[in-house]
Amino acid sequence: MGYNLPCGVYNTNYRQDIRLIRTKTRITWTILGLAFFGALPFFASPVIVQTLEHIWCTTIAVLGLYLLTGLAGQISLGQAGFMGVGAYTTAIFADLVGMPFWLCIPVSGLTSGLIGVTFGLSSFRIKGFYIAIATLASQIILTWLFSHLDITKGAWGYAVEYPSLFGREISRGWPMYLFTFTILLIMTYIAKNISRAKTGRAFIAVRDNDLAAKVQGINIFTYKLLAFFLCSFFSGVAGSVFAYRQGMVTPEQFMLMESIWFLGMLIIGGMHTPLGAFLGTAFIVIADRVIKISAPLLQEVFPTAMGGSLSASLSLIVFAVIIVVFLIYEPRGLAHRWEIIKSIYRLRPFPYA
Amino acid sequence: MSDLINYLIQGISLGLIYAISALGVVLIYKSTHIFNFAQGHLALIGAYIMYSLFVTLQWPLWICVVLTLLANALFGWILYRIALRPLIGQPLISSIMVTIALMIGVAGFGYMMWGSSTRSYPAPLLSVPVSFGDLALGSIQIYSSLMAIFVFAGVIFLFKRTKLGQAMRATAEDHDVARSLGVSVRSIFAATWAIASMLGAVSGICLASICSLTPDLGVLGLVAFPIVLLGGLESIGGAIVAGLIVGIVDIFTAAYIDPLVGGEFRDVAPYVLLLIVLFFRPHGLFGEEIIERI
Repeated sequence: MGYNLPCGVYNTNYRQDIRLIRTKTRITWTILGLAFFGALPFFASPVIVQTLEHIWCTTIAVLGLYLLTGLAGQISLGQAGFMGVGAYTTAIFADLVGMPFWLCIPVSGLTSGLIGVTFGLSSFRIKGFYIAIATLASQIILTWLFSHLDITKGAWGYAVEYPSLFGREISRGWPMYLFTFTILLIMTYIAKNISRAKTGRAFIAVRDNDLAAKVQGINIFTYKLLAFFLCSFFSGVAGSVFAYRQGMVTPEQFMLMESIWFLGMLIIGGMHTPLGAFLGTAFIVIADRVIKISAPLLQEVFPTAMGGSLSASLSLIVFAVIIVVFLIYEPRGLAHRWEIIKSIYRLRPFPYA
Repeated sequence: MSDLINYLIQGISLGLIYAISALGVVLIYKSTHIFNFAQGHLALIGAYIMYSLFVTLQWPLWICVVLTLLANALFGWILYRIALRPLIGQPLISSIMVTIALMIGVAGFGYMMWGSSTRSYPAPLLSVPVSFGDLALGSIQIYSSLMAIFVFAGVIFLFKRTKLGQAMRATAEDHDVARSLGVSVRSIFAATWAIASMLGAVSGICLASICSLTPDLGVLGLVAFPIVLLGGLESIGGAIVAGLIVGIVDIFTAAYIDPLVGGEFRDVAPYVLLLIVLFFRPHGLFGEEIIERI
């Protein structure tokens, strides 16, 4: 799947074939990249560090969506709701039971996953638009529950304390950055391996033609539910990290709009590789920051008639235009562009091979 | 007892308005196989255009209504032309995502043009209580119910009796066969979007005169989606019946269940109903069972 080896490198045994990072150049690049992003909070400005924290945290949720939408071909408009389940689970368990974070995160993931499966159950016989609306229903029901249940403390929100490791608090700044980054790396590793193992291939078979997959002995019901479970699990973990990072969980953080943003990120990044989740999230988050900064300035230059406001609307309009443009001109997303750039570099000076 | 009948009538009139919006979604789905997430926000734009013409420019009511319908039809056609036409024949996720993007973009357009303040229509479009004995009704509810019935009759007539309707049904059945028989599929798509957008404007004006005109009206229009799926994606009759069901459920939950669970459950009730129905009837109440072959 788009995994091209450099010229002259061949896999001669299975150990080489299943290696995640195959060549020495790639190992070097990976180590350099990890070192760069790991050391970033020690020299970059706090704004950049916080933007990156936000990107890492969101990417976890988008990775879950990659498994569900990109691989298994199901559409979820309820990702933010499941993220909220994870966040509230973390808040409640950390507050009432005093659970440490390394237990809290998987527990949040599992809770969210189980709730995802419960909503997925009603959708095992339905397809396409019906699933999209069923997940929309779950999103709306979940946000309603967040603001009306007693245990979630309603619209006021639930405060979460910083996690602690070996008696030291992981507070704002570089400890929190490294915390989110580490969890992102673990989740990326899991997502990448799911996508190339049997499960991922079964997902692809279900996506491409579910009847044909069934004929080949793939249990569609199990795999669809598994996809929903994994997707919700990832968003639960994302929600948990989000809760720790934010220090406060409120229902407004998990509205329908967030779910739509996640889908948009996946589409812009490219939904057939985990890399797409990273690129799309980074693109949207950075674009959003730029718009939020520039909109008030534009408002001064172009005052609108009839009491409209540019600052509230600009990010919505730009987001819509970006998605439509990507769908029409580059449906395979930024990840595909990146592949093209890489192959141009590899094949130079020949234009194509 | 009179409470019960009152709620029932209110539910029916609300349901009829919901059904108009849902009908727009069904029309677009039937002929283009695209699920229009932007329907609620088309209604919002219609309501805003009506406001600008009727309140800001102070033109006579009937001219305003006609102009609003035409303007909204044009708006729907523009959306189709710039965003949907290049995506005909693309996979499902593209067609879902493009209308979601349109939904957001249209919402943003509404914010840009009209801001986020709450407005309401003046006298002829403002609901005045009318009472028949024990029954109390809003005048707008009566007008809009009549209008809804008129619209349903119009749409059914269009589908069953006119040449355009026949062409639309043919296109819905099979694009290629329709094209080979001389139906211009593209103009049918464009016409469908224009008509659906007009239906959106009608429901938007009715909703805005019953509630008030805020950007939340588009979100209120989201209730069209559970209705469409409840009725079955391809069924016009289903949309009307499901619209009535959801309208009645809406009013009754507001009256009887909201006090028990602490408010606003009426916003969620259609979705709960939808999940329950989908569990037993995966194609909605009147939807077609699709038989698949490899």
